Amino acid sequence: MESPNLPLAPAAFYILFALAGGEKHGYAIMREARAASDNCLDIGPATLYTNIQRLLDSGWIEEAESPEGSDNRRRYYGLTRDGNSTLEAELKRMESIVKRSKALRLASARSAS
Amino acid sequence: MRTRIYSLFLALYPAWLRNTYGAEMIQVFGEDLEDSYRTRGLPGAAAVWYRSLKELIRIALPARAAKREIAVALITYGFTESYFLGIVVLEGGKHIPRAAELDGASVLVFGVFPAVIAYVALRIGNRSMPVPLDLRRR
Repeated sequence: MESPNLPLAPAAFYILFALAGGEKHGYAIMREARAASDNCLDIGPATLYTNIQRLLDSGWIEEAESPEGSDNRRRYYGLTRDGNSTLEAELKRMESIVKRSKALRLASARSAS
Repeated sequence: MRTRIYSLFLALYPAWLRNTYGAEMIQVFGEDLEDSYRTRGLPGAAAVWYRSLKELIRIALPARAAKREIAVALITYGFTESYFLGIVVLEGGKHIPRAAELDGASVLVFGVFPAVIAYVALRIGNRSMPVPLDLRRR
């Protein structure tokens, strides 16, 4: 059964996706999210932190300890277990859509020939 | 200087965002601007400013508009109630209306109803600037 939290909004999805690779600070999350979306995601500081707050409230991400020697003005964030499950569920949902679309294309190709 | 201008933008964002993440937002904006200028030159820097302006319109302004809607609804309520009271006073001769004359239905018709209409009208008018309040896609 599909989770009531899915599908995720693009910004929330890419932030979770960026954090799947490990704990990061705000700017690193933003860069990673843009790169993962092939720069399709138009994310700036306000979108980033509005979503970070909502993800914190949902319990999908949490504040992490800053690595030693890092700039102490930066806050680091990491995925929680719930956040990881939500991301996995969203990826599975996307995967099933891709599978279905491939099957549809095959079916339409067969009916055309 | 550039981050100072951005910190002026921050004043327009909701207080919770500004208070909790203001310093980080300025830092992230500064880093983004620096990186974009280094890698793409002026067009890169212009893109960062353009994105910030778009965020201002998409996030900061609707948050302000929501407050304005409530204010307009309250003013409408106050105005229509005063108007109703004025009519009651004029029609009832030279006496000040007793509490019994201001029954629930009148308060509803002459205050709450116009206020709700004013609020809804403004909400509909502001739909062109949706706020990404939800994590879920709409």
